[in-house]
Amino acid sequence: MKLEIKGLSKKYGDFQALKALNVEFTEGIYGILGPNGAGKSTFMNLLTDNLKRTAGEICLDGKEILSLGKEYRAKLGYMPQQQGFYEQFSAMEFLRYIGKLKGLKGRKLNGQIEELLTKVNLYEIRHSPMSSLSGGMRQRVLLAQALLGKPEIVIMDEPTAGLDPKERINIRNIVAEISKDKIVFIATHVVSDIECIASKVLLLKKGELIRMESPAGLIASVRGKAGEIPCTKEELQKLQEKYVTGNTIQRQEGLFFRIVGDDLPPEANVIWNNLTLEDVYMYYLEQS
Amino acid sequence: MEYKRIIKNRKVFLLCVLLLVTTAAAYIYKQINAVSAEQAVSEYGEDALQENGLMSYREFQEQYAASYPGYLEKILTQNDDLTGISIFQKKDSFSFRNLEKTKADYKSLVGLKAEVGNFRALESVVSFETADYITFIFGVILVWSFFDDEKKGLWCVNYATPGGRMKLAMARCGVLLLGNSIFQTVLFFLLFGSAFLLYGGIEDIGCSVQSSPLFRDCILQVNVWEYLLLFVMLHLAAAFAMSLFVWMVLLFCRSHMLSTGLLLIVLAGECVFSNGLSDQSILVGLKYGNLFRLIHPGDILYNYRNFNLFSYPINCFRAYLCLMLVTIMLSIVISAWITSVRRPIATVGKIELRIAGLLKKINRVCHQGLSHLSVFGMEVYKILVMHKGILFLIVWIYLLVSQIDTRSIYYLGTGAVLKEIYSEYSGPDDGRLRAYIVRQEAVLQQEQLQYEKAVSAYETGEISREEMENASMVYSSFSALEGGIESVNMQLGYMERIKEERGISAWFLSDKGYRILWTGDGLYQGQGYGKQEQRGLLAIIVLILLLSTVFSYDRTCGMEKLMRAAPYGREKLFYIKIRVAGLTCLFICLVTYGLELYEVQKLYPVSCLKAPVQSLDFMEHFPIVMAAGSFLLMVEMIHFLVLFMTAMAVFACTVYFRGIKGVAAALIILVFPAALQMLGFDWCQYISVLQPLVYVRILQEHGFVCSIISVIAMMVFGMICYLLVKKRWCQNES
Repeated sequence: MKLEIKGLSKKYGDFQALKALNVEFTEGIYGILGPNGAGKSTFMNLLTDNLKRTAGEICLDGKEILSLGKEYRAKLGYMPQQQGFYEQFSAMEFLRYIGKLKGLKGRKLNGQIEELLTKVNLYEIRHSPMSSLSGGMRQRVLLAQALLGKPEIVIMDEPTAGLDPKERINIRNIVAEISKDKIVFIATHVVSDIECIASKVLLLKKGELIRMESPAGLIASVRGKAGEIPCTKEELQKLQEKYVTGNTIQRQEGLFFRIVGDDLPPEANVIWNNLTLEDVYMYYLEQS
Repeated sequence: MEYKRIIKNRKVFLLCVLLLVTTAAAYIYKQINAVSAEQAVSEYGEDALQENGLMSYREFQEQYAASYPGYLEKILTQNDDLTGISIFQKKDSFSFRNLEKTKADYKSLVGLKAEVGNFRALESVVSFETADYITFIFGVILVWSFFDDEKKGLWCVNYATPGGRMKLAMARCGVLLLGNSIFQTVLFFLLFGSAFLLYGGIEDIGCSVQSSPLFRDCILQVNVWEYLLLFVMLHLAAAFAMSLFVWMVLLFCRSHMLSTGLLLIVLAGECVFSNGLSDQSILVGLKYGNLFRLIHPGDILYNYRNFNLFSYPINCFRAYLCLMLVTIMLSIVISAWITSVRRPIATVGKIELRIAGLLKKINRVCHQGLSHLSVFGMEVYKILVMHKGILFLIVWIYLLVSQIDTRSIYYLGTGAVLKEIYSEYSGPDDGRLRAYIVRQEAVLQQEQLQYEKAVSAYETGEISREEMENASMVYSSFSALEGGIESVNMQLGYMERIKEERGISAWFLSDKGYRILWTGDGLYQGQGYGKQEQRGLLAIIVLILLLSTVFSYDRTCGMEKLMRAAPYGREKLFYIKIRVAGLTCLFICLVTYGLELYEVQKLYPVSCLKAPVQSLDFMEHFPIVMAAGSFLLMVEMIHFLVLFMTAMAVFACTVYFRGIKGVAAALIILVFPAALQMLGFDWCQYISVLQPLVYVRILQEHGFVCSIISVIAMMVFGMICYLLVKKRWCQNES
């Protein structure tokens, strides 16, 4: 299975939200990283054909998804950014409703719903109305609906927004589990969401694809670009003013100010090991 | 700030404006109907009015004004007479005390002069009950808006501020007072303004209020404008008291579902006591010292009535005032106390917890069942349950049923003769009727001859005056038959003519029922279309209320993108929603026109459905030859199609404008021109959907071609709306 994006652009009036994106995807988990307004949600909406593109093509196995229409959407699982629900529906009703819209019926639908509810740990409260569920539970219901119909392409827009660390780990584990033989997109600005599970990471900035590589490759690309400046509390404020995108770290040895960039100041200790995707994010996306 | 917050809530503001406009429109429409009925009666002319012992308003006023002092005297002397009767002599009895009190109260009116004037404006507004219920609804809306902070999770924030407890409670009391004052002032300004414009009579507002027969038992010595002021003030106080009471009850339980249930139980109970108890009941105190009376005081404000409370006569009006004061005081104290002591987060009480648990269980069972519904079923469920469509339907059906008038009609004279003829000879022209008419004409001729003979015999003195009178009575008894035969002959003449001119074999049938259905004739001239317009407008309003959320809700709650990403979330779901609209229109059509047919069938049954529609003389120019039943079916199909196209327009409005804006757009496009048309603004008929909905009116007034053009125009409008909605839903956003 191959999903090709050719010259994909989206303009809102004069604002160019996505600039001629050219990229190919095969089975695997793709983390899409970028700050707010980078074009992540626009890209997701174009992939789900919820938004009209300005130019370009999206082809699945060589066929344009617009001409595939229903056939393409049958392979799609979508977990939107906001928790949109019919509040009075129970989790079961909601999943049945979406399942029917995905063309599932009878035992097949029931079987999948039960399986997914068990997987996301919501089987016990399946008949409770959505309004009574916590943010984490609602997010899990959304994940379950995205996985209904065993989709081959799963698109998740900010799947862990507003969740506590435990819920985040839960969702991450489920995604890792279901990703076999699927193209999974996870758009997020939370680096830890994709750090361990993404096979490739796309870095989007102001509508442009800055880089697309495996997490290891990306981390390697910032070797020698990160440094730490030991500082006192008094010095910290000055450093924060000087390096807007720096990160303060408290260790046993004292306070450090971690910065990334091509020209590190002489007082900074260059870090060669223990680099993270967060450094990659800061280097590529937060530097002006 | 609290007031500003509520006023800035567009939903609340729009609802209030809508309530005001609806009330004013309903009032004007009611009065226009009353005036046209009066005009229809006056078409008989003054002579006919006198012949029937009827009086004009002015004459009635004059007679009443002249008799008023006598009326007062009669009440006082009647009381004196009654005190002479033994059962009224027991001094510690209610009867004795009531007589004494009545005498004392009426004595203050002695010497008061009832003047002749025009008080119809005052009378019509005072007896316009809808305003009372609308005021109550306004109060409930205002109170519900207090709970917005709870819904938005701001209760904790408010409660933690210094002014978030008692001060907030007091501010809310102020909001209820101010809100009700503004609403009542605007409402009564609109009502009295329209009333004085319609009826005039502003020059008579200096007269004593007892000058109007409606207020003859009002014991307040005030003139019309003072009464008017008092009336508005009392309504304002009652509305304030009632909204405070609603607020208090809604605060009783933490669960709004429970508190709403409690409020409904209390109001239903009070309504039953108010309407169900008789004045003789020992529980009569519950009838007049009743909260329901705060919503709807009825005649309590202008009639004199005392009830028995432990053998003491209590004046209903005074009891009403006391009830109002007590309600205000108690509600303020309790509501303020609950608002200031109830914490946003607390453990729920045992009873509340048990009821909530029970409701949860019921809810769970319901959800278990509902999860098996198809997508179509889910869409219907969303309309009826999630958006409270079922409530709109109940209110709508209640309004329709309450308008049905199936009182038995007694046929007299010619009517009775015709009824007999129709029951015997309705059907194709097989010669039997003609033979019958010939026989009856012969009888009539013979009677006429005998009468002429009697006249000449009386003139020559051969028979006495008494014998002449008998002969005259016998002859006049045949005048009904004569009238009947004349009417039948006219119909037979029409049947012959239509056979000759168009080759249509018309049937002999009673056309009264058909006239009510398909012409401007109701029970009186012009009422037919009025009633049809009224039903049509109600159907459009209920359609808007039911369907306005079908597309817009998915967008509001953020489900749209999710659904559209599913393989069947576009075209298939769109068609399902269209089918739901079709089902809704069919239901509305069946109920509206089914009830109309039921009413007509009860009054003047429509028969001979197989007869060519041209058998009805008012359908003479209809170009297509078809059975009356087929025409009836065609008209109902047109009703359905027009409603369906209206539904498409509702969808278009709600798809392109979000939330309440969509509903407002639908009301402006679909209801506003229709309401103006009903109020007599004829130019609105060109942009009103009522026009094709009352298809038979265009057919009768403008002919077949115009009627078809009107329906086609509606179809085109509906199709454009349909395509716009389809484009918006099935294609992606730009």
